[in-house]
Amino acid sequence: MNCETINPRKRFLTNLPTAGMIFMILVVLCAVLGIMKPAFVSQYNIMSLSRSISYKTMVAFGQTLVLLTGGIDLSVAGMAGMAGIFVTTLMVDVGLNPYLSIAIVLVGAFLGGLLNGFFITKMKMVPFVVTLATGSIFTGVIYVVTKGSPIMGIPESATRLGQGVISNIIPYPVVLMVLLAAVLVYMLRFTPFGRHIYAVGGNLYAAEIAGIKTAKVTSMVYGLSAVTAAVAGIMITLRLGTAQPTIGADWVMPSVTAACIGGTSLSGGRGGIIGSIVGGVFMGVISNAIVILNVSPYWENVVIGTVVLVAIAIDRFKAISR
Amino acid sequence: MKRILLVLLALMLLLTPMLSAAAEAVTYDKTEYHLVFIPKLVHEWYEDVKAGIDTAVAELAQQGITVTYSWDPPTDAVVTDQIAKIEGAVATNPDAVSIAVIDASATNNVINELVASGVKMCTFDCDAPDSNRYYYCGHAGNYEDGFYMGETLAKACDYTGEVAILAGTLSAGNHQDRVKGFKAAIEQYADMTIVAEQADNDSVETALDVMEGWISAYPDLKGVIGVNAASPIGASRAVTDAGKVGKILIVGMAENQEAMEYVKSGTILCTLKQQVPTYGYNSVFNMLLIADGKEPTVKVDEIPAIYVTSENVDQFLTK
Repeated sequence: MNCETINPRKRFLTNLPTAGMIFMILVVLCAVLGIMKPAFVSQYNIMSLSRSISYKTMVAFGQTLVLLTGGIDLSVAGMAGMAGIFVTTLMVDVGLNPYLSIAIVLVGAFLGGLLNGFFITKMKMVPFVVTLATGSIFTGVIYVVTKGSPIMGIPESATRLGQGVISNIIPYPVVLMVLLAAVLVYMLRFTPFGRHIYAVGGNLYAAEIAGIKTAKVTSMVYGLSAVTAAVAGIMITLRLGTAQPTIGADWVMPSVTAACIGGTSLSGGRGGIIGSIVGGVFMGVISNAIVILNVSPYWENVVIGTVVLVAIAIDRFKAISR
Repeated sequence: MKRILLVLLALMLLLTPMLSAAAEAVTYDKTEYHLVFIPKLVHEWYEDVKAGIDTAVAELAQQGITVTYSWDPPTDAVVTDQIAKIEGAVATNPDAVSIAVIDASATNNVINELVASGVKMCTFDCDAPDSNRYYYCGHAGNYEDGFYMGETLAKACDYTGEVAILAGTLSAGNHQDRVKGFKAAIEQYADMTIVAEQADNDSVETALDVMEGWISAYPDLKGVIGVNAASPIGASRAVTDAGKVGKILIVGMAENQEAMEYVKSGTILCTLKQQVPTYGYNSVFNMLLIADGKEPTVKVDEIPAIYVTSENVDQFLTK
């Protein structure tokens, strides 16, 4: 009887997934910004904004996989920076082919991620502590290698990967982000490994009883998180044309925030890649709006925090009223 | 008038070797010293300070004086981390300690307590002028630098048009002073407007994102100042990619090779090159004097900076 009394519009909103709700807020936000500042919807801004969003969103993809298992990866910032430095070192100092350099670094990143997984699954250490420690090591390695100096001289054939744009509007990193998203969505939805990730995060013990090799799944997820962070670190390095030691240093919180406001649960088992794209775009649009609207730099963090809090609160309100 | 100038020149030529001889005549009480240097953070910029220290150490070794030193920067410019480093360094009983102060208001008390307990505290690069430190060596004219950059940019813009400020890290005193100086210079000209000001948190990546936003939002933007080492680089990347080199002029405080190449290409109109090795070099000799209980050659050792433009950039390019 109660169902019959619920307003259909309210039913639509309460049944809408978190990512859908944030997406609706995002559309309204973009429309308002477009009206207030037509520059927001200019070709140049869409191109540069989408490229800026792509890096952190790629990191958020890996973070999402880790969060789905109930873990967290705080080493993504160090891994991204280290990947950018090593790929440049291989190209500039060793003289390797750019694509071979990237392949070597991605394999190394995967192994670095597996190291996180080893400590978490075999040594039974807490993911927060393990990845905090390895992140610190990765950041330390950056400074050992660079002594704080940027590395210059990346060949043009490589920088084109980071700086290239299709039809003056779609940057290569955005194409890469979409491809990566497609692969990960397919993996999560249509492969046994993807279902095992949800199972491990939903109920670890039930997953073990069901015969899922939880340690292997968890380790692989940390490996993939390291790879997505490395891809982002390499792409921003190629975009800048120099390997900066500070690359990605502030990417941990945005990666977690993008995943969370996209509907991924911090306790695991719920969420997905599409939501993280929505979350990443949402965060990027807010940052861009602050610049375009010339919000006082002293208020910048207050505005970002408030908007994110309101967006999540709307979603929680919806969940409570369900 | 010419005669007076000639006499002055002759006097200078006579006095210079005498001053050098006086410098060489300084004697030190011990043959072994241990110094501690604590920069603000791990950064390539401080490597040049270290090079200056190494030069001084090598010169002293030739005089039979062995100087060892610890170089212990925090990974990030966090004031509490730096204070922990200072306190840890003092435990090794060094002859003198010099720090590049992150936040003077938070560090003054620490310096004063250590000085009171007999530790020979000095500063380099960033000072704590209200503390009881024995000696400072660096370039403290941040307001003047900001003002000079404002004047330079205004002149290049024919004293009209829109400009913007990449304000660095909001809590950094030197960045704040440069911003104030820049604003004071621009505000002299009624036809110039500061249309935007954003923090970049010393990140090339953030500066790039902000600059791209401004290129969209302010199509008539004529100039930008970046008040730290990172922001002129990020701004230059954005301006280059947008095909706006020469249309949006950049001034700032970046002094690495990448910045010099942007000056050479005309993307950066003017940047500032500090004589960083001198900070380390002068500090070593003065810290030895202070360790011996003598007065430093000068209490505030202000080292002037060089403004780099396309006219003099070649001498700073190392290729």
